[in-house]
Amino acid sequence: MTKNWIDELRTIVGPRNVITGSESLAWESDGLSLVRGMGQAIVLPLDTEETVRVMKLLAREGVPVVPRGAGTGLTGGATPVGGGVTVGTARMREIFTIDPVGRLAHVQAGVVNSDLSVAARPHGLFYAPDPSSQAACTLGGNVANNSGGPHCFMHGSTTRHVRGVKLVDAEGQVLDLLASPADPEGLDLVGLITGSEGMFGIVTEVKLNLEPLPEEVQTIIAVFPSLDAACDCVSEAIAAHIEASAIEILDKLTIAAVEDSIFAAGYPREAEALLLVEAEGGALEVQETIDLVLQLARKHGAMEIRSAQDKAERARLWAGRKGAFGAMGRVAPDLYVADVVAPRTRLREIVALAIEIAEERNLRLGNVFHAGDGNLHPNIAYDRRDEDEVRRVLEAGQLIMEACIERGGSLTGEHGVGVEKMTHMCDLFDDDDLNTMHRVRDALDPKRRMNPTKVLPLRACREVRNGGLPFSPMGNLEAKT
Amino acid sequence: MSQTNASDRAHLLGQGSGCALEEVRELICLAPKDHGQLAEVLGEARRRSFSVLPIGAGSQLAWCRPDALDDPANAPIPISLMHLAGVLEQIPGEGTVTAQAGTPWRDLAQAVEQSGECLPADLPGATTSTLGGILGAGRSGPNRLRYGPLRHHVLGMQVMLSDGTLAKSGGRLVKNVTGFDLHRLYTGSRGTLAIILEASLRLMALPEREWSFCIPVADCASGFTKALEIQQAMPRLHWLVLTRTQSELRLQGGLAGRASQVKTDQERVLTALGGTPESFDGQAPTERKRLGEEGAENRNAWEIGSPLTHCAELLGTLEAQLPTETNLWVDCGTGRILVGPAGDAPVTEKPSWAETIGAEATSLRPLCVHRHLHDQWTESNPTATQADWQQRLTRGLDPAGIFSMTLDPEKAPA
Repeated sequence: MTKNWIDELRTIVGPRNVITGSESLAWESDGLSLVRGMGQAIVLPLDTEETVRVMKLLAREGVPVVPRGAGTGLTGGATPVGGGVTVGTARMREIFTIDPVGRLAHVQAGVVNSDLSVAARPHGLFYAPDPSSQAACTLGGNVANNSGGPHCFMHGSTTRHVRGVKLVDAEGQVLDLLASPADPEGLDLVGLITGSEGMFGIVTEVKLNLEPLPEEVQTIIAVFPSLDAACDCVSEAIAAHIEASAIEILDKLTIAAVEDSIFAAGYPREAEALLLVEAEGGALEVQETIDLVLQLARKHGAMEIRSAQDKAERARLWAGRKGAFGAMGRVAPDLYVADVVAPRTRLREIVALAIEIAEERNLRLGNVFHAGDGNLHPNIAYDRRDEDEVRRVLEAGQLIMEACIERGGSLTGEHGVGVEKMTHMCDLFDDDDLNTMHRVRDALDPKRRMNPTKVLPLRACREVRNGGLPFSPMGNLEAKT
Repeated sequence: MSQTNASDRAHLLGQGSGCALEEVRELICLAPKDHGQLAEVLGEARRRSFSVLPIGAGSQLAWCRPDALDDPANAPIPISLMHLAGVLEQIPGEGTVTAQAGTPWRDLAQAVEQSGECLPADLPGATTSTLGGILGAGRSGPNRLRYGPLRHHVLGMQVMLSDGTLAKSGGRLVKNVTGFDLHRLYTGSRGTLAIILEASLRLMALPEREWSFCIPVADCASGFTKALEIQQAMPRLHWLVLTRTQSELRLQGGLAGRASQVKTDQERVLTALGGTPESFDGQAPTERKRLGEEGAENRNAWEIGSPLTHCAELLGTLEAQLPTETNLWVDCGTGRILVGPAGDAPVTEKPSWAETIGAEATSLRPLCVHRHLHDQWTESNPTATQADWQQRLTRGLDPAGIFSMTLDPEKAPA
């Protein structure tokens, strides 16, 4: 019986675009390699029309659906932990139009993030959200996760840039919101869909806002003798209403990993912490912003300050920052990338807590984060073959999240909830909050076939709190008893 | 629904829930003192199958829920959040503010200015309007050209559903993707899903300097073309609108930000404009206050959302066919066009020009055309799936149906 509908899928998208058996091993996890799962098949439709046929078939068979872009997500959101079929957008790579007057791009969901900026550049435009994985991650995946990136400090996360979407829902119906006006007519469905982690359907096309290329860009790095000093510098800059486009911090372990890797950017190895700041806009406002940063950096004890002298040097500085996660592979084979948000007035305190939690468990922690937004990424390098180390990593991750929430922070700033943080939703929301989200989900996907076992815990929060970790080190969903 | 008028039904709800009645803009409404009393009112409304309408100061009613004004026999009963007011949290250095829904927008603006910040939507005409009313109506200011629409800066909300459930989404931080962004859904929902109780907003740095200009233009099409040229020459414009009032056509816009940059940029704008515009310095130019809101408040206005690429052509057509006394207000950054007769007196009959502009706009494939006053004149055109989703969400969050729906699914195309 199973074979029959998989054969039907092959008829719809072509035999090469339905992947099963050992060939599907490459799809068994996303960027959160701790969580693995094998569904019944991976299907790669070419466009909306094929997606509709695929989704209608899967609806007929009652098969759960896991939407997937490039699989660069870091919370297990695109991993079929509950079985079913993964529907990927890897073949949806067309940029349909770029409208330089309206500053809009109409693309297929599988277009890679950085490819859009490349295509928009001849029109004097660019696409602002720039996740570190932008050379691989897809725009549809960005919409699903409401992805961020360093320059979201100025430009905002993906949701501020999505003008319209075309989505195929669980039953194969097309919701076409591509022609949405600047203000939505009726309810803001585009706003609801963005960041919904594939739980309302599969986005197949997107209309995105583009920004004019800035007239002036300046990038500086400031070297600090301590991570505390760098954090304090950022908190004071935020309080002074600094209008930079990106404010990032890298710590010593991360700097060393980057400098030892192909992403080597010329970061000073002696730095305990590095502040990377960029400002863009008119020449005068950029200069004033940079001057203010320099003044604050010196006040907080910066030992060295360096400005990028040209585009090539700026590109190197950013390549190092965006390659930092990959570079951590030199420290250990696996990386647990936490993603929490701290109140910006408490950066120093929460970063220090994360370090303390890792040190107590003898773990190697590197910090590289969007300091301007308070979006921390305490990254723990580990080896998943070491079960005890995995246990300590998960425990540390949980404690970091809890510490952040206790101090007014949040669970995730840009990676989403996925599987990793699902049960921790109860730390931030109560049953009424989560039930309201369930009501919205049930209104749009009453059979709960879209990306099941993600984002929303199915049990009451009291039960969840007694249950412990959401997944075992081996990747099977199970509660700790 | 009962055949009694809204005032009688309001009294019944007040008696049943123990909630006081007050008058807002000549409407008798219930004004709960706290969440518990609000839940009582909603419970009583469910028991009696009365439809209710959340309002703040009532200033957005004409804009987004004229049904409350026009038909006393069937109008929903207003529930004013005026007593649930006040700033709940504004921590210096966080760049956010959280306030109760009944907080007047003007008070909120003044509160954040003290810390050198400003709200992300400049609504100088919204003197008495409340935070909840502004958000529920989905309003944005002319400065959306620079900051984007207000809904992009709503960080989180707490609402009460029709069954009395208190539910929050988002949070109070500038960056947060935890859970569904239901606050985006509530923003602009015109009170059809839930009652907004409190909201958190991202704040912007208070500009050091503002400058604005006003220049007459010969006709709408050339005025809009000029607007596109100016945007091309100066990407840092904060606002840019084309207006026709009392038969005078004017292009107006402004800059805000660091003083040195504004001063430099204004020279570029003047060069791009040519001619000799009037220009205004100052923190909050009076001219912008007056003109930035004009039209946007007009309850009789037709709204057309046009792609920027079609806007000049559409405006040319409209100008040729509309009576000269008809006002126009065009946000040159979004292509949002408001067309309406002067004044705010309710129009009881569909104007003769309405059919014409509807047809012209449709022929040019605008994004949507609709009018705010009467549903039967609405020519908005949601797809069947879009209408279905809206209906499902409304039923999902308000199964009792006491927050009356504005969208009639029967009108959606098959």
